[in-house]
Amino acid sequence: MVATTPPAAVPRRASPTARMLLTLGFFLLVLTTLAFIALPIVAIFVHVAPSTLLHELTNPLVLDALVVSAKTTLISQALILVFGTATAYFLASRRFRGRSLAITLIELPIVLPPAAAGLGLLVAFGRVGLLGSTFDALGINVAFNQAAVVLAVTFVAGPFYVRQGIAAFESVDETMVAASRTLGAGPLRTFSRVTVPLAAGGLAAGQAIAMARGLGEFGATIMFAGSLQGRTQTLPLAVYYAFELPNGLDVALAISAILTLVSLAILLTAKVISGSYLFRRGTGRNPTVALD
Amino acid sequence: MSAGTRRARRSGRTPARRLASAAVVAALCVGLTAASGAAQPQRSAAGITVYAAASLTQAFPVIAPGNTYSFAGSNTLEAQIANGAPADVFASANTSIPAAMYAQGLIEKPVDFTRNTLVIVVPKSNPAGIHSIYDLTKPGVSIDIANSAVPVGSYTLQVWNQMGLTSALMPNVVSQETDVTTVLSKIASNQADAGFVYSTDAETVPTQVTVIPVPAWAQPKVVYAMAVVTKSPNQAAAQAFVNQVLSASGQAVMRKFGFLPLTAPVPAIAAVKPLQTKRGGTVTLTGTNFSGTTSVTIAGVAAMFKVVSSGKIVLTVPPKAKSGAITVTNPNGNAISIKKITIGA
Amino acid sequence: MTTTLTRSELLSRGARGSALVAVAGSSLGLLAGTADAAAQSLPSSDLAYVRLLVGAELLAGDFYGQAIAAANSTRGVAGYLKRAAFNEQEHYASVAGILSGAGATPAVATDFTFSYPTGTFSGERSILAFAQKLEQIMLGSYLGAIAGVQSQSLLPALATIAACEAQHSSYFGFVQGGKAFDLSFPPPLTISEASDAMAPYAQ
Repeated sequence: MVATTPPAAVPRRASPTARMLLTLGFFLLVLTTLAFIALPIVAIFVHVAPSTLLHELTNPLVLDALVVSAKTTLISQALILVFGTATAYFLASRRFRGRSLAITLIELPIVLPPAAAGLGLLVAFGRVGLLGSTFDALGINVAFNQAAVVLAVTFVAGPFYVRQGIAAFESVDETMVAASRTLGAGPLRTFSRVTVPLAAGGLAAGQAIAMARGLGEFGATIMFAGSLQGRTQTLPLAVYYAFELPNGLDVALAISAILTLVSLAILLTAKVISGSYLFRRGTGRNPTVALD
Repeated sequence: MSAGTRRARRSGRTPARRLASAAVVAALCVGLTAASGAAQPQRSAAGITVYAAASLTQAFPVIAPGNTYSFAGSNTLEAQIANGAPADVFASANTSIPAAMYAQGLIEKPVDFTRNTLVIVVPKSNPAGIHSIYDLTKPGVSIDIANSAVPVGSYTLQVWNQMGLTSALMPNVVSQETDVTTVLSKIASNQADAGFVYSTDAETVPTQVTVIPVPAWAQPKVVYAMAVVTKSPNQAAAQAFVNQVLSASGQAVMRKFGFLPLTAPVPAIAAVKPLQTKRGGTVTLTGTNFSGTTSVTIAGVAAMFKVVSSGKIVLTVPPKAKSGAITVTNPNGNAISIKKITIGA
Repeated sequence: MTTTLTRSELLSRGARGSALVAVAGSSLGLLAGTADAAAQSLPSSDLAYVRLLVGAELLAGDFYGQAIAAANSTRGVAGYLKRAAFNEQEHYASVAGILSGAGATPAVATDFTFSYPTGTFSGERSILAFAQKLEQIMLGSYLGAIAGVQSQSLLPALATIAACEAQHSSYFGFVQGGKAFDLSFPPPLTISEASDAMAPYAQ
């Protein structure tokens, strides 16, 4: 029995028309996607005259929301930096039983709907929450003030930083760290002079995502912190409030424009930082990189 | 095995695979159509879409169970309707939002359909020991109200203004919510010490909140108004719902849930002419709701009067008249002129 | 510019705005622009007192109306009840006029639900007892308003009415067989005390 191999098949080439249609269809798909993303963003800026948008920037509603957002974002980002870096490093460098469970827990707020997160914060730290009476006894009041906003923002945005941080620390070349230790640097010096700079690109990207997420937080904030102009009304809350005011569309658009521009700035900064780090430090695998 | 099948098999495009991909595309098409279909509100044959103030959540579905209801702060609903939301009827917790929408041509002429009272609610445990509105001025008390664009929030600020308590109470406000039901739930769950809601809302959670009345002399006039949305494709059914709410049975349902019946209109004086006259002379009053006037007095002295129309009264200055304000009274109340008339010799 | 200042500034603007919305909704409010020469814009705390007094006068008017309608008083007392009813009507016109002049809408009787303890109108004695109590509340309210208002221009009207209420109280006390007058300085009631005193009868 002789095995018969089928004759070598000549690949059937698509006709020029079919190829052109395919390319056209392909471009149409991409164009539609880009247009779909671009249209709402452009519409924010062109729906009313730019002079109206600029005029609304002086509205106390907008200014108060800017101040609240700026303050709470800065504080929560500082908290995320401190607690998140430590947590990310710990989870990246140690292997222990339950590590994957811990990582899953940290990542849970990323997928948890913000309203559920807000409710959770309320029943944990609110006045009649799990820790409510403890806080009362200590004289701490988190409900309805900026502390509540900070907690809400940290809860929903922190995990983004930690997840990114874990990946960043894991990408640090072990040989560099080992080299630093063998050369006599202590653990803290190694961490600050070797590990962090090598992971800096990823950490910066993580901080950027966390900041952008925190700036846009709505559901958890309104549930846990309430909404009071000048105290807890952040930019996203102000958009919602302004939209429902009679003739409030202009103010809402102005705030949305601010949020869009700030988000764009964060995105670009993050790209620049992580790009420059990648360019300067390479992948961290080049053994000739000087250790200063 | 045919050449075609061989080619298909080599490229992986077996008949089975082809069938599978076709099935996926078909499923996607069906799914998308179903999704867009599901985006339309489920309408029964007679059901319409009613956008109503949050405080009507319990009452309206009892009046007409077959409709689709969307309950939220009246100003939220106004924004939605102004941006094309598919409502057939709009019911607001005040008269000013419908009036503005009527002026913009968004709805037909609004009609008042019920009244309500503003009350203070405190959690059952009353942690701050509140017994009257004046207790809310104590430092450290947390007050939750709706924001000023929502009718109940605007009524609240009105009461504070009328009692001269705004500057004393504002520092104690911890949050301004987007609708009255959020305020109620924050108080019911003991998140804040006191909140301002409607008496009808407080009645929905009697075991979780205690009601403290707002002094009657400071109560705002809380009147709800509704109208058919001009762009509604179900004009007849929408008008039928409005009529149903205004009917005796509809009003009985409203009363059952604690809403107040409408009051008959009181008179109002817009102008008095002339402002200077003598005894025996005539004075013409223009205004509204003059039909059914039972008495007209000048500075308390009764004058002979004739109701020319619901907007015009002609009175004769009595012999013993003194200069002063003119009062027009009907069974529902009275109106006092702002300008006083002067009676010469 | 501190946050507190901005917030209270905005909120007072908002409160005024919402008050205007409410006032514009009522027909009497539309007459705000035609205030006569004597009218002025009074501070909100003064207007609060006047609103309370408007409510008090409506309560008194309703009480005397029902007392007269019960028709179970002796002729002398009935005459004074009628006179008191007339006085309270004129008082109402006066304080309601202050409100209208300031651009606000005075309340009317249908805005309230008046209720009295059971048996108040069952006989002359109970009528007189309640009348005295009511006049004491009225007097205290007016004295409290005189002490509390910031606008000097309101004082003459308030003082005259207070004097009249004091005369009512004196009569109703004496005709029951008690004292015509007693305290050298009848006590004023703060606005919250006056409001609480009125609350059981005017809801």
